[in-house]
Amino acid sequence: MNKILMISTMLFSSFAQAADVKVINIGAATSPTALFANAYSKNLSISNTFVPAKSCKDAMAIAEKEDSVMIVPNDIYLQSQRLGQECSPKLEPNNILLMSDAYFEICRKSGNKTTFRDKDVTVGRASVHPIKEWTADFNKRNNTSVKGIAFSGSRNVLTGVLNGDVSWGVIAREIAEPAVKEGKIECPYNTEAASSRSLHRFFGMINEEYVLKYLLITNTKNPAVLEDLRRAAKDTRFLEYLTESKHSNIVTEVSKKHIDLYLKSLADLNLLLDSFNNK
Amino acid sequence: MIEAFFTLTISIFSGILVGLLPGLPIWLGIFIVFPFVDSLSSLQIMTYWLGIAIGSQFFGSVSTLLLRIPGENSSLIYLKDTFALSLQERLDLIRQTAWGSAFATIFAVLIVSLLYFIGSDDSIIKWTNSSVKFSVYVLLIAILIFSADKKVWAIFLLAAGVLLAEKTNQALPIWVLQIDYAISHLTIFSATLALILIPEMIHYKNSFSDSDSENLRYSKEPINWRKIVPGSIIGCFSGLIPGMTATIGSISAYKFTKGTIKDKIISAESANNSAIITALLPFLIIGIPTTIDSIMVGSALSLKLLEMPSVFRNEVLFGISLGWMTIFIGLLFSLVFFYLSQRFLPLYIKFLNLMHGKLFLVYVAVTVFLIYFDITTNAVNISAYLIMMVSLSAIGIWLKKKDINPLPFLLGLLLGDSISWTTYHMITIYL
Repeated sequence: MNKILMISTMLFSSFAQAADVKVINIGAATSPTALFANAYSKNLSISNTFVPAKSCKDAMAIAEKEDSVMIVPNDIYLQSQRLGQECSPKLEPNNILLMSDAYFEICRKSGNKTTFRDKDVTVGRASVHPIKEWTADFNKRNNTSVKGIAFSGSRNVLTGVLNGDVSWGVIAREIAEPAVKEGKIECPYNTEAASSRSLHRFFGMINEEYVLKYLLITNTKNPAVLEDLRRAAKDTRFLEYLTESKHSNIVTEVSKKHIDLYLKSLADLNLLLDSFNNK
Repeated sequence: MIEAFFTLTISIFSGILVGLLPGLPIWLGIFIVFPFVDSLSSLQIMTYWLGIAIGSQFFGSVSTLLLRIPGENSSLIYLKDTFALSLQERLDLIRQTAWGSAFATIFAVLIVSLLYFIGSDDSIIKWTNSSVKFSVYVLLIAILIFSADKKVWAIFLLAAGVLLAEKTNQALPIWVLQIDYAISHLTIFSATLALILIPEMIHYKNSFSDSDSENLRYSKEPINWRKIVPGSIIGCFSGLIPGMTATIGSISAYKFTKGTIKDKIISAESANNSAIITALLPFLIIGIPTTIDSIMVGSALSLKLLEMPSVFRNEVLFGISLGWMTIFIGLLFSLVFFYLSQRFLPLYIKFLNLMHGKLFLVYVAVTVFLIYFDITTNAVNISAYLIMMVSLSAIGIWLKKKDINPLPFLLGLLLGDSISWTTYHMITIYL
């Protein structure tokens, strides 16, 4: 029995060496947010521990107790609303280390001539997106009968487009572009308002764009820790990772203007949800 | 090159270890590499898996025949028979079963490669659509229930597993998401540890026998191909039955084979090797894992954002696809284990004697390590997690006493998300 206790104590004590900063990831270990958090934490010089959180509420609970850095994509607010939970991290320029945007391509299999105006059109989309709300609004404004189908993520949406499960797919740019180059799919539209292929230029939409806004936020007051967190956010390798992952509008010197843009994306989301709930 | 050699060596060593030591299932080997997945390539993960899967079947029979310690569950079926055989007969059986295992593995690898590579990219991708997946799941669940000894328990445990499985589909009704959030302290790791490993650890009894490591000479009889070939074929079919494919394979071959005890053992040992290989087919072709170890490999790959079957076909290493690499490594391991399982028998005896009485400590150390890993990589409240763990362990011990296999619950828990996605897609797309 003593041997058992000794082994247990040794294992736990060696694993539980104090880490200075918790890198909190909200959601699945395979989500794009997790990859973002992982890529960021690799550039930290200070000791850190990667901590998963099931929801924004759980993440906030961890952040209350420990020095932490957390990735808060705007779609996490939708998950919080679904679970009936609060999600209110403090958004101030000196807390935010980095912001970036990720847009989506709207694609169909090469050779498939289905349009949104056809009957029985299905659109695959990651389930974290407001699928039923977006689809209802789109159909109402364009007199179409598009059916929204949830998938676990963009990779599965791409598979769904290729295997014929769905006619169209809303796919993260990072995943869509290689398939376009291989000639497997074509993407006539996207969700970026400024693009000439933006869906809102062709169809009536409540919001001009759909963007996944990433926000890297910390609660630390320790100057040395904060300095390292800021340095890691500006690290060339991390910025290269973001560029390769097709993130755009990457900002490391965050001002109130940038926070307002983030808040606007949340307001857009709420507009869509309210429109659906009040229909 | 050094890295590749190191990976192959570690995989071979782990395969021997998992095979020789009783109570160490194949999936545990995959479990242990989880903390290091980030630094492993997809080829290394596949190599490690194949090493453990193939090695455990070769060496499970070595420890059963040599020392009457069943290294793998698939060898349990003939454990009692070994008491009726002399050491010389058992030594010859090690040679015979090594031939049988090598033939069966190569036979199954060739069948898998033929079936997998016969299709084009387009035909493979069509097999991944929801209607095909749904049909496969219905078939697999039907077979799982039909092949279970206690069918009502199998249905109940499977349903409970599916219900309690983590759901990643945010489009499901809100009450489903709220239940999912409420039981988020239940992880696949903790359930597997509590329902299988801990009860196994508590029930573990050392049963070392009286083998004489000095007297390992024996007369060689002709290789019994008439039992090896049918056993391999039975194993190939058994591999397609979800759950304990190798065990089902060896039990089926043992029961169907007519002849002496030695004939039955040769057939059973050939069957479990081919079963372990053909069990890969659903995973490689349509991405549906049907065994716990293939589910673990799927999870390990998904941590690297890689998915079956696309990674198998699309990932190219040194100009060769991961699929061909895996086939090649499977064949290589068959030959290596074929050689090693007949050589160094005194060394294996010494190793097992060295481990005598210490296995319990090994189990405790492995369990503590896995619990630590589980707690730190999952969003769980530690006290809620431990309460859940203790409760499930009590259930696991009770199930073991009642001889009820908890595997349907674990399969439900592991496949629950995928089953709910497939069902959701069938309903929303096709109905």
